[in-house]
Amino acid sequence: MQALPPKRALQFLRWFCREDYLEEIEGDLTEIFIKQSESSPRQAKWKFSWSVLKYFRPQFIKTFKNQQPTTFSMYKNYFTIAWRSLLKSKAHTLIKISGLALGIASVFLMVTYIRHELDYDRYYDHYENLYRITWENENPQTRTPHPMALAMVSDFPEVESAVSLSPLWGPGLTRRTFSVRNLEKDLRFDEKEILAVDTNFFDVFRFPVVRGDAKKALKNVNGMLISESTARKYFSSDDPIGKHLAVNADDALLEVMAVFKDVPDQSHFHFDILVSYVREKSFNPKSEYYTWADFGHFNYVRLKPGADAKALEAKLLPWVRKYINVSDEYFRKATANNFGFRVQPLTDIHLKSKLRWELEPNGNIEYVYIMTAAALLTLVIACINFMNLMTAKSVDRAKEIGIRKTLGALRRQLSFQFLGEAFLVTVIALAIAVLLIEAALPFYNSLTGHSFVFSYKGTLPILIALSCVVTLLAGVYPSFYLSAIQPHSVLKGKVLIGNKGYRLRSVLIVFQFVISMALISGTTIIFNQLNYIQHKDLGFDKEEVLVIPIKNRAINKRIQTLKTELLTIDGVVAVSASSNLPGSQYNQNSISLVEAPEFEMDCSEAFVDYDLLKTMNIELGEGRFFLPENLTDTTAAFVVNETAARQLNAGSVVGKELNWYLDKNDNPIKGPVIGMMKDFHFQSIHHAVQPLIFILYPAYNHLVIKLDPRDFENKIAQIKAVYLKFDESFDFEFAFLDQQLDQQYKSEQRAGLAFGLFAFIAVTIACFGLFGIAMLSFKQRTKEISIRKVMGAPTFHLIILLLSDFTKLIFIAIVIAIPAAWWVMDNWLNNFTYNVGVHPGVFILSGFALILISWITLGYFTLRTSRINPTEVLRSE
Amino acid sequence: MTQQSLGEFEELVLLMVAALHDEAYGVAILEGLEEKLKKKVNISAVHVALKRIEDKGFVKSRFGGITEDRGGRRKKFYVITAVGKRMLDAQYELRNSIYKQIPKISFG
Repeated sequence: MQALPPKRALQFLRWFCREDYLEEIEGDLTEIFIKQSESSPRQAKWKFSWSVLKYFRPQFIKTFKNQQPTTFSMYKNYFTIAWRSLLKSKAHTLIKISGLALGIASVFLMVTYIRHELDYDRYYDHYENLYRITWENENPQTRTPHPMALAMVSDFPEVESAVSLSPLWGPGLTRRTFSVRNLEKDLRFDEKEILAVDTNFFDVFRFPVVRGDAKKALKNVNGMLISESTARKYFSSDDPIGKHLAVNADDALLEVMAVFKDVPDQSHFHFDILVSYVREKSFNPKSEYYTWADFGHFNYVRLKPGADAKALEAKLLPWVRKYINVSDEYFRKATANNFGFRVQPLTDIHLKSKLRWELEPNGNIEYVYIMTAAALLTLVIACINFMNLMTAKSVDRAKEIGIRKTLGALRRQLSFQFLGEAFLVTVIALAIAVLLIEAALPFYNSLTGHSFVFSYKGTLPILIALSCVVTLLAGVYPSFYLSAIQPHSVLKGKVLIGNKGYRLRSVLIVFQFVISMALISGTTIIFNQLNYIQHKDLGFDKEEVLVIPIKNRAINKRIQTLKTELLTIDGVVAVSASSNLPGSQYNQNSISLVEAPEFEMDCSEAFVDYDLLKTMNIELGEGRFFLPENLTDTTAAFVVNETAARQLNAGSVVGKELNWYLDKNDNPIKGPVIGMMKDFHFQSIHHAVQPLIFILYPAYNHLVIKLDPRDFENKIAQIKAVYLKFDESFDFEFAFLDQQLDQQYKSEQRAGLAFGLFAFIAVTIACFGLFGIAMLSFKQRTKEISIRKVMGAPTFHLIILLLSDFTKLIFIAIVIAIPAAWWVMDNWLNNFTYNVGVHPGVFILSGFALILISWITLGYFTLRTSRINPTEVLRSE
Repeated sequence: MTQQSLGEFEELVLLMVAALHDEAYGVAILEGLEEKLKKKVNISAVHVALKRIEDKGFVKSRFGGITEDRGGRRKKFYVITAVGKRMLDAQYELRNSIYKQIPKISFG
């Protein structure tokens, strides 16, 4: 029997070798093999296999793509057809892609913002076990007593560790500014972000200490901890450990004993310098501030993993009676009203906490919701656009689909083809969107006040996920719609667009314009409200009022001299000083009438100087303001606002004696009310005016100067020169009151701008869609229009005819949008106690604007179609 | 077609095709070359060269009849074309003329 060549090698050869060569090669190889196997069969087999391998080179390998016509070439054909149909109608493609790109880009920006907001306070190790203890009553607050932290650790097994911390307060619960110097290098800076903390601060807030021993530092009276950037500021590259910094001129030198990593932006509180409570207590060890009596500290706890925070919360009020004398009556009232301590998750603080005395202004969950809604709506508009344009094009593709189906294409395959096409378009749109994002980011950052960076690494997964979502959202319907086309009807030449497709497209257009309308009217209302805020009469002058922060407390002793000198400057109308000014937070203590001491109420307070009413032009209702010639004013006398008088319910309050419970002291300060001023908005107009009490006492944080409205620059230079004679140990700063007040509405202004921008984008995309649809639908109507023309219809009538279809849709959209927008915006406006309200005019105006915009969009095609030359159109048939 | 190039091995294969005239197929060429060159040649090298010179138009091919000892595969016979012959002639002329220019040197 003849030897056979190795089977596998032969199979391999037959698989890869070109068919026109195979005959010869296999024949020759076999012949050699047979000859050789007579002498040495093994070697012959090896030789054969080796030779086969040698043929495995491009020359001899067949072209595989022709081999499997069923799959690979089908995909290739899909791609070719997709590409051709994109190129065939360029305007249509441009609209489709740019709409989608705009949509993706803006959604991406919104998602970036949302992610940023949701990502606060995730910096600390096991942040999910961190909570803040707050106090909830009629007037809820963030601050609780200092001993509570320690007591909770010793009394509750589920509390792993706890810490008290507090900013260092100046008069009127304003953060003190410190002047910190490196004496060796003669460097000096103002420092605002200083916190006093308990020794175990880093047990609760676990984050990296880069150098030194934090525990040791926090036990030391003269120790301090600084952040890495602060260390760089004072010591550049030197090792700061063991070096000294002088805090304020009168205070002792503090030794830098540890350096911690900078607190990231996304934290609800920030600090550059930490000092120990040990140090703060050493100044005034007997102070009630450190006892259970004073709810004046920020307490944070770290619970054991898996501990039930809600259960702990319920135990707190009964437990605290061990330490605080809570009367049975108050306890019953508290239980009935659900008052008591709250255990607030750290991660909720930034977005959800709006209590009295937050460490820093927090964000607002509502804006996250609004942005999420805007992001989704924009995405939906962009997807609808895509769907609409794709199905509208079905006439053009119908023949292709018919032929494909006749040739045996399955419906599944066709769906897949159109999904693939959608994906192709999405990917192109995505590439453009990336460019758009890169271009828009600096602008967007200045708008939102963040510093987002576009990093491909971090965002690529989001973008890919986004494009898959878009493909599915936008591609699924068209792919089903198109793949359902019946070949027999198409190939017979029937007109394809039935009523069904048309109706659905109309619904989608209406939907897009509902969203557009809602966004336009929403934006208008936001801007109305912002405008209202800006121009509302606040009850005091905010223009031409200069505010200089008094950072050096020593100035308070010489305030009258400073005032006198400032008044000599030409153009300075009035000078006064105050511990708190409108737009900042106020300390609150209780007041009551001496004649009815059982009714105590919380009242905001400020230490003020003579002439404050005159300087700020606040109106006096009754009585008089503090006067230098009236010496008893300096000991104990009060001026209250109208709301305080009304809530005390004492008729005319002027002349009555008042108890003022400073620092929760049982011995109130007693004094007469000498005047009542008209209400003014000392807080942002989110809130109704609260009770307010003024006390004449030199503990000021701000110098207030009323200028006449000429030549500010020159006057400020003179004021600075005078001020620097009194204090050189701090930086000289100034601001105008109206600028400071604007800060309160910063988040609204930003939201308004961002909302406006996205409304603009949404409307643009919707108009793109309208444009695309109109383009196709007018094209289909050219014959109708031509015939109408031949019959004598004037151009004007034709324009109205063409516009009326779409105008009807937009009108329906407007009608649907109004109640929804009304409801949402009414809710938003309720954030402000003082608001413009929802005016129907807004909707009429926005509606007209929308119709106008759509007419402009449709204008080009309407004119072109109505001016068509009927002979050209009708000749062809 | 202007000047077509011809590699060394290709030239050898072409010569062998011409020499075997009408009986030239893969294995025959291989054996002829191995005999003349006195060394082993791989069949694939021969096939590569054959395909190249066929593409260049120096040889043409036809299939022969089915034979038993080739596993039922037909032989593919190669015949030199006029172009191929001219090419060989030109090569021969070229070499000869240069060779003749060599001065008489004796390596003793």
